[in-house]
Amino acid sequence: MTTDQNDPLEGFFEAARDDAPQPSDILQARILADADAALAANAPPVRRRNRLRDVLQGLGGWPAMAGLVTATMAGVWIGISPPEMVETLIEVQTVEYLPGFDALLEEG
Amino acid sequence: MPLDAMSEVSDTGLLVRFANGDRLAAVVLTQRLSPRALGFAARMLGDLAEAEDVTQEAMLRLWKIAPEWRQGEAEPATWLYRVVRNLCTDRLRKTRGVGLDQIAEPEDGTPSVEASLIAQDRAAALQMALNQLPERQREAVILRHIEGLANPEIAQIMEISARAVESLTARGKRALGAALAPKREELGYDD
Repeated sequence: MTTDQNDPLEGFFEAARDDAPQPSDILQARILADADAALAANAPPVRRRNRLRDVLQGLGGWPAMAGLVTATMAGVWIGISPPEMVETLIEVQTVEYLPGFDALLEEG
Repeated sequence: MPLDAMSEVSDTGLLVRFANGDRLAAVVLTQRLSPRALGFAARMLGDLAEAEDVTQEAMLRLWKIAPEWRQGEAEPATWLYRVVRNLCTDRLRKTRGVGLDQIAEPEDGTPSVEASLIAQDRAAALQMALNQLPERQREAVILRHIEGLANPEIAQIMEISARAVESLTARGKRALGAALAPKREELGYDD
């Protein structure tokens, strides 16, 4: 700091600066104990492990789950009430891929 | 980060680190700021034990505000001085009934020939004279001439203009000069 040596009070101020109290070890320990308490209070709470959330995250989160549910529902619906096109497709496949199946069964 | 490397980090940087859970930052901030808070409080109150309590309380408030600290608003040291000032004002208001005769006198008697004792006597005489100043003049003089702060920073701490700081400092020094003039000879001043 700049000091004015012509200032008649400067000698007093200088003496006061030299005589400044220093924090004792005990005071510093008290201050740091408060800091520790503040750190503990500010720490984010520990979250309990949630298995459902873990599984969900493994599958890709809620957006992926929505897609999965939609696909499942569509599958169930097709199983319960197959559209005509699906039935036709099944018949066509039977006819084309196993043409002599009935004959084989009869021959036994 | 090791302790040595922390010495290059600003007070604000340390406060942000502390808010993020770095205890070492609290150690460095305590080393940097608590002597300043204690020195100011001790000069304001004239009582070391009370000054220690004020310092602890001010530092506690710093720890608590750390997570909400807004960078660029104020320096942590300036903020801390302001808190110390407010805490000292509260304590002085509570003890305003204490008369000057109850404040410890500097040791009287034969002036010491030892330079260190003279320095101690000067510091004690200054403290006695500071105790008699109006509170705001005392704050301005301590912050300017003992803590060594610039007027704009003092203005921030005291929440007044820099001009008002100058005025308070000048009036305080005039009063101090008058109070200390009779003691100048016995405290080793020849003129």
